[in-house]
Amino acid sequence: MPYQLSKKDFYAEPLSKAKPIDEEFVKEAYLVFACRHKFCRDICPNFDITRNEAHSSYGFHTSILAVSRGVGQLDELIDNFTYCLECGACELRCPNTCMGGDFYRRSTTTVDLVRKIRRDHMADGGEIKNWSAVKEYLDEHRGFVATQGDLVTKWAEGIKVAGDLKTALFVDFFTATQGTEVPRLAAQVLNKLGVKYGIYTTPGVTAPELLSENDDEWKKYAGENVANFKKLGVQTLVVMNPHDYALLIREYPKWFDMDGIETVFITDFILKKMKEKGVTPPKAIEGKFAYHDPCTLNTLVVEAESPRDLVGMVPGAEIVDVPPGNQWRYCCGNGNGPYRKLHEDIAYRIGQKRLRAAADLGVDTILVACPHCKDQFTDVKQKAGLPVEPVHVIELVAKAMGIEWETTSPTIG
Amino acid sequence: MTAATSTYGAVTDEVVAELKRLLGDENVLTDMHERAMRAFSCAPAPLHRWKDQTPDVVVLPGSTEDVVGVLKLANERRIPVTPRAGASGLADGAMPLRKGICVDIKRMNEIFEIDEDNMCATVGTGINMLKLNEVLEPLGKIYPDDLAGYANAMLGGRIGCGGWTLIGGKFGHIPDTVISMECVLPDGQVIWVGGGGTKKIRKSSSGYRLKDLFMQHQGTLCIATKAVIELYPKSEVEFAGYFAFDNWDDAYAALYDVTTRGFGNLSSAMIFDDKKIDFLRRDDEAFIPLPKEVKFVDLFTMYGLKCEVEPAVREGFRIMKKHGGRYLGPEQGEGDWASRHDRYHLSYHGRTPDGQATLMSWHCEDTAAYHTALPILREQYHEIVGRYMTEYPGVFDDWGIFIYTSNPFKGWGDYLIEIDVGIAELQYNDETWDAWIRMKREIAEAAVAQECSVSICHGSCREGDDDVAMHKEMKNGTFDIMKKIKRMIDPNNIMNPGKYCLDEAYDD
Amino acid sequence: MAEEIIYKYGHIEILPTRMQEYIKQQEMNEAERERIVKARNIHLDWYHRHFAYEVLKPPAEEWEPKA
Ligand SMILES: Cc1cc2nc3c(=O)[nH]c(=O)nc-3n(C[C@H](O)[C@H](O)[C@H](O)COP(=O)(O)OP(=O)(O)OC[C@H]3O[C@@H](n4cnc5c(N)ncnc54)[C@H](O)[C@@H]3O)c2cc1C
Ligand code: SF4
Ligand code: SF4
Repeated sequence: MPYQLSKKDFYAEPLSKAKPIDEEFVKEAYLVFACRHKFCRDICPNFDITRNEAHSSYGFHTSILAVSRGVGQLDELIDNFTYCLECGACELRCPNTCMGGDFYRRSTTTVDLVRKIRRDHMADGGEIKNWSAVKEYLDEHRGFVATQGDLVTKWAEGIKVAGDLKTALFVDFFTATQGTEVPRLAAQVLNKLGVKYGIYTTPGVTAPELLSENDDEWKKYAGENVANFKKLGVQTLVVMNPHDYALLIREYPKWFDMDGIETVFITDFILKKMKEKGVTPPKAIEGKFAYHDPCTLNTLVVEAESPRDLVGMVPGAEIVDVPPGNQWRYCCGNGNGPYRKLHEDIAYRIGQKRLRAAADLGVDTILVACPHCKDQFTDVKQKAGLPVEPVHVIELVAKAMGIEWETTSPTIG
Repeated sequence: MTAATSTYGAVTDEVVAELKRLLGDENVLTDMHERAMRAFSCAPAPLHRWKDQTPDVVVLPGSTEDVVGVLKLANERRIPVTPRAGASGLADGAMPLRKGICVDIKRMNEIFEIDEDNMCATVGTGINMLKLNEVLEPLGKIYPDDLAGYANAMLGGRIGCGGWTLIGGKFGHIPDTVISMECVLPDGQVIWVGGGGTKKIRKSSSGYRLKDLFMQHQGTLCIATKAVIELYPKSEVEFAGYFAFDNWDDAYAALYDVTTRGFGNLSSAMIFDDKKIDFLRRDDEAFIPLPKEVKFVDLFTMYGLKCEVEPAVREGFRIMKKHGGRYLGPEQGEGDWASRHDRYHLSYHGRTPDGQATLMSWHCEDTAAYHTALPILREQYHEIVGRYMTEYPGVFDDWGIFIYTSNPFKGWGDYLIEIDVGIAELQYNDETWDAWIRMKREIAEAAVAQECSVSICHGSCREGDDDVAMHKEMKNGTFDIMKKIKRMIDPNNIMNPGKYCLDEAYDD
Repeated sequence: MAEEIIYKYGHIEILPTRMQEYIKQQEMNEAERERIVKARNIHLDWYHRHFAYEVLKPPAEEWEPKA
């Protein structure tokens, strides 16, 4: 996937309650207000639950415009800016992007805005409610940095890793500690396919949460990664977590030269290798599945095909869910940032709605392509008592490739 | 200020506490930014007067009972109430001119019943049509309220405006597709009004037809909380054909023929005039680039069963070609029709006289005109807007004219003639705002002079329109009766006060 | 007053000289523009599917599909 560059330089200048809002920024806020069609609002999975239009791209931009006109104060807005999953759906649905962004070379960039407002607010001495949970999570990852070599390879214990880093698996701390089945099974599938790879062991803190707190620190880790990729001769970076994938495709190129490094999402990589080698998974898994498009692939990068196509490679397996275009308005509720830690209850209700839609399809399993979606759905399923089991696409493929693992999915098991 | 408006009660801490007791703390919003973003609706707004129309408090009711509680309290204290649904209304109905309580109904979005046997559904008025249709989709049903603000408007606002639908030529408009509704009156009384007295009967001869009274009142009479709406089978096929014409006369004649032919599936027919085509050419990225010689475009769309639409489309082609229309191809038809809700009014679409892309907001004049008035209104509207463009360079921009069929279930007779005007809203000050109101007034007056109506979609309750609509268009007794009804139902003038000149109802 | 435009990499683009005074372009590469175009097409497809099961093609005698 080519790197996507979309950057507004004036976002770098911090907003502060001590000074008036810069004219460039007023125009930016106005651009969204000017349309006022609010298509961004009604597609927003957060708004879908809270029904408060302050919590939408329209709301965010309008409140800033109001402040620039002397109506309200900047530091009063922060609560609003916590109600964003950073899913990117509103950006795409905004006619300024969808209908004219390519023509005018300017588009709506709500996710960047939300992150910026949060970090400017904290830099200005402000606080964000419940941020301590986010900080704790980031601190945990910061702590991992000291011991990371051990952690990010631990998941691979007992798996033969035979290659060098020309093809490197990029496994972040979350996946290495909480979503271990994904890299473990992916590595075994690659072994079965005869693909050689190494494991990149120093991912640093990759969590997008950090972009809302301190982008300099985020850039430090990212910059070190890029330098390492080059030093280690990485040519193909195979990414397990779509949150990282979206950052690599969309954020890295804003700051770093990624020339010579190809970044590929794991499902895409496996799919390509299967096709290259003419391999079809030998074991049929007869069943109909819901499939949840992760927003990181579906809206942020707009590359939703590969997990679906990979499921299509498994004999007997069929996705019966609505197409990616209909899923712009879905989110699992975790969000691509601190959302679930800030709004546990709404996150749960968003997830519940999504899982119920899957249940309505009459399936017992929802396939996902993101460890965070799986984590979230696992939680939601338990709390809501919904009879739909979240399973990662890689798990399905592993089973079809004859790799044994435990599953609670009635269809796959 | 009249006697009725000088004595409004204030939103005190005690009122806020009472609202919180009624609705729960989280559904009563007092922060400035929450209120500030509910100061405006969708049309170009007086940004320079932002604070003057920021509501004092916003409430998010979740049920009819909640609305009853809020209205009773407001009525007792004489606090102005402005209903707000999708806030996409282009006549500023949801703008709280007298501040007070903004009743934002978005939480009332339940689907209470889908009655497939009787082809109707009962829903909360905070529901958006797109969301509703996603639920209806697996049942093969659709609620065909295909307005250009389809993705954002909500049923309550549609009822508040008596809205118009792009494909109403086949499916009807809001007054046709809403069968009945539950309304909360200012004193808290809950009534259900329909064709007769029951909920699901469309056509009744029983008593007064009150459904029509509680439609398009812009929240000045009640808050609609539930509605029974019409369901249609989802269409098997859709066809949108775009045809190029060299001149107005041919495009106009073709429109006449296609709309009077008697098609059962004609959902809409349209003209894009030459200025509209020029405007679209500025950034026709989805509008497939048109050959240079194209001046006017006619469009007709058909929905329905394949066995009916296929031969009808052939006949449509014959009519268009007879008048010199040249078919522009399926790419055009599919690409442009599918972007009908989205593409026309990007914030970058305005140009200054020296050709710079500038930031403009979209204003849409939506005259209801009959067929023979179309040519004259087209000329007059361009002349009016052109004059203001010359006088205020860079502030106003003529974005061309669309003409659409608007008679429900049939193509002939009535049309929407819409001139779109770009406005550099950030440059609004008292002078430019005033110029804008004068321009609106001139357009409204031109319409009424032709025996047409000021508005077909949005309502004529905006500054600049309301006076012309109430005192000129409605001069044959309608406005007098409106005032009597208003005063009877809302004796304290709390329901969306300041709209439709209805303060005059209280002039003793 | 049809405007002069730029045609490159298969899409049309405004003359950058028109985006100098009031509103400026942001840094955007071709991949990002491809993403937007792709999203637009997904969205338009979605709209068609949403309103009817099938988009009827014009009568064969009226339109020859481009090779
Ligand atoms: C891009 C775009 C395209 C549009 N295209 C069309 C079109 O094709 N056809 C068309 O008809 N309109 C169109 N409009 C205008 C607008 O969408 C309609 O006027 C719509 O009816 C407004 O609905 P809303 O939910 O946004 O209402 P709002 O703007 O919130 O409210 C409209 C009015 O109804 C009142 N109201 C709201 N809720 C209630 C209630 N529950 N009970 C009583 N009164 C209530 C409000 O006080 C206000 O006066 C378009 C708007 C946009 C932005
Ligand atoms: S990024 Fe997603 S959650 Fe955030 S405002 Fe946009 S649509 Fe809503
Ligand atoms: S973000 Fe876009 S859709 Fe939303 S109000 Fe805006 S400009 Fe319109």
